[in-house]
Order: sequence, then structure tokens, then C-alpha cells
Amino acid sequence: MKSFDITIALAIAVAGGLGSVVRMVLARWIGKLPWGILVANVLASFAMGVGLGIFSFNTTLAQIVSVGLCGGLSTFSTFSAQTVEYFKAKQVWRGVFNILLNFFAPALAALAGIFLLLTLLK
Amino acid sequence: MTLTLKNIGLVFAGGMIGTLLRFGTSSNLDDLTSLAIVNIVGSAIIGWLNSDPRFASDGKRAFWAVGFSGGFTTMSGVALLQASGVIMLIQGAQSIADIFSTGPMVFFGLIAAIFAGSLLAYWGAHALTSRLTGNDAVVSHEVEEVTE
Repeated sequence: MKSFDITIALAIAVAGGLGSVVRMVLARWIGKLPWGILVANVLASFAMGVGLGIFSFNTTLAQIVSVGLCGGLSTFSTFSAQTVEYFKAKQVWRGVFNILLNFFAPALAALAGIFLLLTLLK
Repeated sequence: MTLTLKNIGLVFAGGMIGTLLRFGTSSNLDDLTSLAIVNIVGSAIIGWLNSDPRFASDGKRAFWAVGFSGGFTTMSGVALLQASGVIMLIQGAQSIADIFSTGPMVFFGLIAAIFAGSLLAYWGAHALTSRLTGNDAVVSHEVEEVTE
């Protein structure tokens, strides 16, 4: 068991709460697919790629941004719920596209964030 | 979900607790294991919430579904792990613990397994709770509704 600093844990939790509220607002954007949740996941992943680099000098700040803010902004549970409900409603292609988009787009956004930072730091 | 001050406060509070639990989980486990646990368990939780009449009210959905299980699960953590895997692949290095040394196919296969496991967990928990409560449509099965 690693040491558990209550102040750091609280700061991470508050950041997670803030990220969740932003996600709640974005999640209202649903068209042919749940774009709002995808945008939240892509934004969070990009910010995590950039943030972990920017705050690499300070583990606590890096954790507040990555585990707290980005972790709270992104979600997996709503993605699971929406995808399975598409399949149950026999909207198979929507379900498949939702899986593919959420599998690749956030990962590409994280990569873009990392490479953007590396380019700027050169 | 309507953006009332009460709902925003409940999402914030639920998100704080979910995030704290995820932080606690990730502090003691490797990335892949903790991501699998939070996302599979979190998807099962929302599957349960979406078919239990006791959690059908707006306020309870704000706290438990959007806040708690949304904050407990994470996509950005998974995305970062995938991105790290790609970078390791490009560099030909093997530093994501021992997982990557088993080969990139296994590594990305395990990430795909987190996706499959989470979808199955939602489906299973939803089906089980529907059967136990005898209620299959507490939350209507519209994607707009399960967002909340």
C-alpha cells in the first residue's frame, strides 16, 4: 500500500468532480451517435497526453490533471451503456461505429497530445 | 439530464467519490489491471442502475450514474495506455512493465478485452437486475436516456 496523502487525494477528487460536470454538459449532444461523450473522451485523452508532459516536473500536479480532471471528464460506463443499448435496439452499425470511434479516437488524441508537446519542446 | 444547480451539485459530488475510488484502485495496481477493474465494475454498476427502479429519479441518476460511475470509469487512462503502447512499438522498447514484452498483439488484445469485458458487464448486470426487479424499462432503452 502506497502512502496516501489526504490533501492530494482531495484535490484529485475535486478535479474529478469538475471534469464530471463538464462531461454532464457535453453529454447532452447526441445525434446519430453520442457525440458529446466521444468529444469528452477525446478532449480528456488529448489533455492527458499534453498534461502529463507539462506537469512531469511535479507528480502531484500531474495526478490532479490526469487522474482527476481528465479521468473525471472521460467515461467508460456511459460508452458501455449507450453501445449495448444500440445493439439491443438492433441499431448494430451505430453500436459498431461507437466502439470503433471510442477505441481509436481517444488513443489518437492522446498520441497527438504527446507529440504536440514533444514538438513544442524541441 | 437537465442542468439544474441540484443536478450539477450531485454530479460533482458523485464524480468526486468515483474519482477518489479510481485513484485508490490505481494506486495499488498496475495500469492495465486497474483500468480493467474500474471500467468493467463501473459498466456493471451503470447496467444495474439503468434497470433498478430505486435509482430512476433524476437526482439519483445525477449522483450515481453520471457522477459516481462516470467518474469511477475512465477512457483517457485507456487511451494513454494505448498511446504508450504505440510509442513503445515505434521505439522498439519494452518498458510498459512485463505486459508489452509478451508482444504488441497481446498488449492491444488485452485493451480490446477491457472494451469487450465492459460491454458484457453492462449487458449482464442490466439483464440480471431486470430479472430480479421484474422491471426491464425503468430507464427507457433510448441512448439519450442511458446517457444520464
